[in-house]
Amino acid sequence: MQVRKSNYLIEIKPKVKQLIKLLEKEFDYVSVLASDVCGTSYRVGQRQTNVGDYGFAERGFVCRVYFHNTYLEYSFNEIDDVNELANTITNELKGEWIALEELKLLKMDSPLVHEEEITKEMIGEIEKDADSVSANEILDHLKRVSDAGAKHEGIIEFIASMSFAQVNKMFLSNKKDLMQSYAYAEGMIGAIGTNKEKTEMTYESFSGLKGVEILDEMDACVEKVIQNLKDLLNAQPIVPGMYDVVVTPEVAGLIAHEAFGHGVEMDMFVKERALAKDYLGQQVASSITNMKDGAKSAQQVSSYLFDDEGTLGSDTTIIQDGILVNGISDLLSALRLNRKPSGNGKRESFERKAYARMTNTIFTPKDDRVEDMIASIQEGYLLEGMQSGMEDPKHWGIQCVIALGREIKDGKLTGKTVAPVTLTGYVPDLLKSISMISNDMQLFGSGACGKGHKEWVKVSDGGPYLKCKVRLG
Amino acid sequence: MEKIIRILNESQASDYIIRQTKTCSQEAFFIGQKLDMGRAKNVTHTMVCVYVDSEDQQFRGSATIEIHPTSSIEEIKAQVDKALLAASFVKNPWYPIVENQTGKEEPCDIDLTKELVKITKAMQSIQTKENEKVNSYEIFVNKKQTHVMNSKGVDITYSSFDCEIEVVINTSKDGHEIELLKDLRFANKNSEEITKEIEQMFISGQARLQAKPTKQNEHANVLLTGDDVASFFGYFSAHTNASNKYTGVAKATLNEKITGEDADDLTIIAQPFLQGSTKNTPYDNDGNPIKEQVLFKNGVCQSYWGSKQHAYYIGLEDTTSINNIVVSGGSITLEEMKKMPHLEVTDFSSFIMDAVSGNFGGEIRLGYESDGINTCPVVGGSISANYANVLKNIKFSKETKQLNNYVVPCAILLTDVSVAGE
Repeated sequence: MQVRKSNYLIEIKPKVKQLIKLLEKEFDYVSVLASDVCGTSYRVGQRQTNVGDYGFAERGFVCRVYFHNTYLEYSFNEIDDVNELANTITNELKGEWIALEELKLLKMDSPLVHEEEITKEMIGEIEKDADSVSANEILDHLKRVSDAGAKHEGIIEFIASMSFAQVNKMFLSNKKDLMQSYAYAEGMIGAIGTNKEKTEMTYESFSGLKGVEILDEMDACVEKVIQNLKDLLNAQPIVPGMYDVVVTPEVAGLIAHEAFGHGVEMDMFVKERALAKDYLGQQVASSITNMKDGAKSAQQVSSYLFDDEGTLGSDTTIIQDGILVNGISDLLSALRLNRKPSGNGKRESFERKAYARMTNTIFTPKDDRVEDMIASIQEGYLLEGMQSGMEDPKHWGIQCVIALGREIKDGKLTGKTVAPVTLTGYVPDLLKSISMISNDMQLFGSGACGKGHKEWVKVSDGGPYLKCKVRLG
Repeated sequence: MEKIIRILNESQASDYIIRQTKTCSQEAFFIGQKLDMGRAKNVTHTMVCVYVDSEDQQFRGSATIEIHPTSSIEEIKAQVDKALLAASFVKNPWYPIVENQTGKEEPCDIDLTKELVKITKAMQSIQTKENEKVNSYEIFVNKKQTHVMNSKGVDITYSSFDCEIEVVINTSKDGHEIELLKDLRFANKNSEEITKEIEQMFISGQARLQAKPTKQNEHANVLLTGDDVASFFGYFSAHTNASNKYTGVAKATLNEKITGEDADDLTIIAQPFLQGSTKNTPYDNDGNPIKEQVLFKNGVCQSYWGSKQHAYYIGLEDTTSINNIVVSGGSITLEEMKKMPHLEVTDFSSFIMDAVSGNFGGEIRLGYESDGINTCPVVGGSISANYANVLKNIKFSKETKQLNNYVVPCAILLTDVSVAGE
């Protein structure tokens, strides 16, 4: 079924167009992004149940103007009298600009955006809208999942949660008239358990351009989470060192995202904060490695028609046969670098600035079999599950915390596990060590990605199984 | 807000809470010392939580929604009805909400443009040497007015003001350039305090240029001295949190010691007000007043803290939320700590603290290896440890420092920590 369009955006559109007309009298360029993102989150445990708004829900506007070679923005979420609002925006932005101008600041070169005339709309599809079933049905399903996990020995809590989101956005300017509505779901089941000596938590996540049909995917994963928890509780500390490893698609996604994705965000090129800028056209990974990012690179939680600056989404090849060929850009960075914007300008919300951000970031599959990859390792680990990661585009350092390592000896899994596992190293060393790539492909879109320590946005990442050599601690 | 109150009073809600926050901000973004973009915002967010009790009053369900300023009466009614229906299916044990709190602070009269200009001037005045530069920075100045009211006589209004500077600096040597990032959050730093923080970053940057790879050591003495010292103490607030106690995850037990016999005394006090903190609100999200509370004294757990709901579940008659944390200094001076062989870590890529498993650590962005006499800056590798092990004989420096809403010892000494390196 088609996702419902936002009546609010349809109704408010004439007022936004009027606002743009009024502001065009004061500024050289004016655009408005209007957001109406709604959704509900459900969380069921053995002791407590919560129902609330989806974490990224919002309704509001951000207006971008061009004034004396500088871009200025104003975020707001009330729009009563359009004339009054236009005056407020003009006075606030000019007032701030004049106060800074009095300091005789130098300004970045900011070319004026030249837009092509375009009117376009995207309406996503899902199987079953969350609003078509009662909250009771969703809560009952999550309770069954929680109960199925909680009955196992040593479980302190077993949580099942799911959020259903509907994203509606409208971008208007003199030349552009864009509208999109799509829906996605994200959730997790998580177990906290103890064996008296240790307490651990593990989880399995779910996401996609889906509706309530995603709940059925949870049922089959309860036993897997319980087994992973047992493996975590029995895990030993790892002896630090360099190891041959096979990483699962989830860890491959984490590496794609943290190791390289952040490093090719081209606003970092403008700031001279990314080593990748100097490596365009050079080999940065083994010759069998290919990596992509884009709203059109996959069908997941960050698949949209246009980004938060009104640029159409694309499918960008970042690494081709080991060679770094492209970065991903927001509009202003692309203008400054004299490149075509890739549609990666994303905001945490209408209240925040747009930056170059990842969408769906993936290693592409090859033709190795996972069994052969494990069999090729004399002493190493199969790395599963992610806990966190941190980017370092300037130095190409990498830090990923992996949930669990399964020991491989003489080509076979021994049943022994290690945790926690911190993967660190130099990104090109890691990428150049990729020697086998499986024919699988899985994407993961639960959770959010920050830039530095803030600006959280929805992204997905993933890929096939990879064999590589890494430093573990 | 009046129309929301009217709709809620006419609804089937057993109780409700409304929390409205109006935020005005001004922001400026710089690349190098050049202005990249100016921004401003003026937004209002209204969160409504509706409660539905079971007929026998044994259970209480709730659902939280945001009512947008642009929502029509019909939209609000539909949202409230949907939330009430969802709440009616939620069967949590009954709990009370906060009652009879009133108070009104005048709106914050700080001029945001003046504050933005003041901070911009401070950042523009930073002096750099030939091999140093300010790479980029972002300035945010925010003032907020929060109004909390509920169906049981809570009606409070309070104001707040806070600033944030995210700054990246570079230092270079022989064509090799490195960067450091800092996210400063404060309520009232003057220009000199701001520039001093940035100057300290350049000192760290120069050290990092000299850094060698961290050596592997499976039994290291580690000194934590950077901003992540505050994150380290987050473990103790997590394990005295009423929600975690109710879930069965909290490890702290009243009147029991959480540290070992060989450890320094651990005293942690939650404080409602701390000069310069961005977290000095008089009430929490439920409208409950923020009070001083001793969480640990000499390593012994004195109290739990948390929401009214979870406090009720674990039998706490009185509770508070936490704004600020003050941790007392320990038994040894920083100078004495540095006399023993150790690895001092000042900067992690990202300090990870998992309160459930007790595991913590991270990749080292800057550290100093010392044999007690000679010191060498190091980079790379990582540390990993577990609270259960390090709390046996943990030591804190006598000296303390303030990191926004935390006052913490300047250094924490951990023994027998695994360091992955070369």
